[in-house]
Amino acid sequence: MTPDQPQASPTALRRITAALFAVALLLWATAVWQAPLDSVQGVIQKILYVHVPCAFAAYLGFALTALGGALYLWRGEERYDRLAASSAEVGVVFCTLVLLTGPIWAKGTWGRWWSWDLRLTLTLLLYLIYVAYLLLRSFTEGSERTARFAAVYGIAGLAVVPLNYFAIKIAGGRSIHPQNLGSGSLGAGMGWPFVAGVATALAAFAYLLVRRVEVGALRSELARLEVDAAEGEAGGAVSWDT
Amino acid sequence: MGYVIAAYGIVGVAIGGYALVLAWERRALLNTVRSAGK
Repeated sequence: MTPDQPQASPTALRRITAALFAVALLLWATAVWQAPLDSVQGVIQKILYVHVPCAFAAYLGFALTALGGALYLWRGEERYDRLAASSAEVGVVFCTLVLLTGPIWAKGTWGRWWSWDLRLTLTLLLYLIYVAYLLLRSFTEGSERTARFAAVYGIAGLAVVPLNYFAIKIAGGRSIHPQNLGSGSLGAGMGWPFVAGVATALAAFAYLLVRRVEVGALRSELARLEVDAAEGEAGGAVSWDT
Repeated sequence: MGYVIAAYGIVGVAIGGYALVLAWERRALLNTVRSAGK
């Protein structure tokens, strides 16, 4: 393991991402409020502006988990392991929101909360994979071995993301879930609130990630202080928390 | 309209709650690190 390198001030990063989030949130709220009603679904279609952006933020979280894991395996620096663990946690938060807002939308349009449709099932699988990743990390004592195993697991788990994204095409017309959005697939006036929703979700993701990484760094610092305090009595492996 | 309010409400509470938990944990850890470092 290589100890942490000096990093950019977390306070500055936190303030920048908080400001971006606040601005995006304001624009998004205005855009959603003013967005036209869908001629078929009515007002419930506005769940789109929060459901899909949360999915994008979850995808980003899981992609960063794999990237952090790969960088950790390559460079062996603790900060990359911390990035992977933090991204997974924030990604799971957003994936939870996808799994909560989706059924609410489904109940209002399909008349039922859940269907074992390929997209829905793969989203649940994706969620469970990363919940297992977090459980694995929390049940095992922080160590280099855990970090290496988690890195490989995080990289392998990423394979489900493209499967999930292309699930509707893979299902070949048997999916009850709407198609992925493409250019022109939204009605007039619906593009801007959607873009604002994606920007807000990504800004929220960045803000939460910065906060979570900061917490991870403090946990590591505390673990190091505890190891230093116990030095001479036990010696042995250095552990860290993420 | 109830479904829309529920969906947006859940997202707001979840993200706000998670941010608060992280802020609280950061504060608690900072205090512990400072006192442990003395």
